[in-house]
Amino acid sequence: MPAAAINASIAGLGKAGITREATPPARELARLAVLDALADAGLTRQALDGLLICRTSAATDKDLGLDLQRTLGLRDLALLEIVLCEGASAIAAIQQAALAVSAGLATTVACVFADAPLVPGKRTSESFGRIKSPSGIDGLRYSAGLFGGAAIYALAARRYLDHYGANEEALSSVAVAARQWAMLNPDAIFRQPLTRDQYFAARYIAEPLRLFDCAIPVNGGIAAIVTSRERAADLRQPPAHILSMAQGHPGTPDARGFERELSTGGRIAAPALLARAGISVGEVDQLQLYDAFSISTLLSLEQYGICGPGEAMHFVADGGIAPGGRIPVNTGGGHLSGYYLQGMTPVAEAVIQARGAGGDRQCGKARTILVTNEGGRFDYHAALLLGQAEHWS
Amino acid sequence: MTLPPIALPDEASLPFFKGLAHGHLSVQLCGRCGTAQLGNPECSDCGSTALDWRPASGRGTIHSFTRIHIAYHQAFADLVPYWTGLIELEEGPRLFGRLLCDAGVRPRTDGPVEVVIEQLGDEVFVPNFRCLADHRQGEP
Repeated sequence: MPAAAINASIAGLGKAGITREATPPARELARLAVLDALADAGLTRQALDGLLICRTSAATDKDLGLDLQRTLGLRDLALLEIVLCEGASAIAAIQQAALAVSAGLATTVACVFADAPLVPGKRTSESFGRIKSPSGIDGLRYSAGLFGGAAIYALAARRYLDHYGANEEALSSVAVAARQWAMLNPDAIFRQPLTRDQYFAARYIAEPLRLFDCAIPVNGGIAAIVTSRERAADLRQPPAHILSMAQGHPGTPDARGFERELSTGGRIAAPALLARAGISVGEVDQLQLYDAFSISTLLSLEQYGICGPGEAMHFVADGGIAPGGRIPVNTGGGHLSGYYLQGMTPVAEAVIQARGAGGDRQCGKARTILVTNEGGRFDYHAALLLGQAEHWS
Repeated sequence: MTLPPIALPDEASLPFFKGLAHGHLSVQLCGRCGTAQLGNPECSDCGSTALDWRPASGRGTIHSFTRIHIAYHQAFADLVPYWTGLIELEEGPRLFGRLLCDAGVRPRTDGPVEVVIEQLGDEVFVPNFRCLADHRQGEP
């Protein structure tokens, strides 16, 4: 049986907050982001018949739940779910929306993520050191003092650097490139120049990861409106077509003979994603990668075959992924210098680029854009290929 | 003393935690394919449920490590910065544990360690790992 065709585009993009200042709680940011996305697309809320909600793995129904439907005054929805796939939730939700739209289960679906970790008087590490369920052997991570994402990704970074004989210069190249892109993005949080010396002078969070190897937490929400290509063509914004989508979840054992830290779900998703679109990786114009930590960018470049295993350190050296480099990567500054709204950060930047709305950071080529999401200890991965409407009609 | 969040044993990992309380580290061995593992209800490799807990040697190597510079939890406030990592036991499985380093010894990827079971509370035991002096240690 041939693969079912995906007929879906991202037709609206909305945001709320995206600030280091205090904000209303996540559910209110989610509401505002959906309304902003509808306005962006030129739609009213009556046009929505689907709502897919993403939240951080530590959030509960009290923070952001199914009652967002009532908060938004949405009636008679055909699709409503919370999509939980850790860092991969945003793309997982967009994929589900695209499938539903393609199968005729819904016509116009809002996918929204929101989080408000920054609370006055509370340290950021309290929000990001949140404990999941410390059960079974994996629960030993907390008694071993491994809280939050930084500690876990630090283990991956150490393993990567030692396995391939690299040093922290490789990480610094990623962080500095992200900042160079962010300086071109008025919506980025960190826009002042970052030199290599400043990078190395910053404090360690979890060695070898320093401050600028880690995502910038913000309070904010982002929503994307998914609808069919035909409907999208009639709306206000140039649509970003969903050309292809894939997930990859390795389930790698924590045992000798496996390299859980060096082989992400991108290894599984990449060939499927490209084959479904009928293109080679060389035809991808830009990469919007989930880069909550600098090491993730290096791994993703390798998993997607942009460069070979262990070669990313050379690829990113000398401005390889900075503006004017070999290929545009995380053109809004990514999580590192832009803002950390988990899987929605790379999605939003890809949509902006596909529309040609990137201003100073707009890339000459934005016909085909890879977007990735990553969650867990490289356990959960989801990806999209987005295409510029004029090129892929 | 504030206790760190303690792993809650589930059915499959309960013997591991009971073993710690008796002073030994243990691993599961699959009776069918021989794969060593930790806390699985069935073999991660062949699916057999014939898994038996056996004492482990307590020796292993560092798969990866880090030094944490932020006290995310009160229990670690006095330890910051501290070494911790992912240990590969001689038998094969990996688990998280704090790394204890004598003066002049630093953790090294693939460097040797041995288990030190630490009692944190009445019935709370955690596996830490001592970094062994290693002829490949180059730096002080």
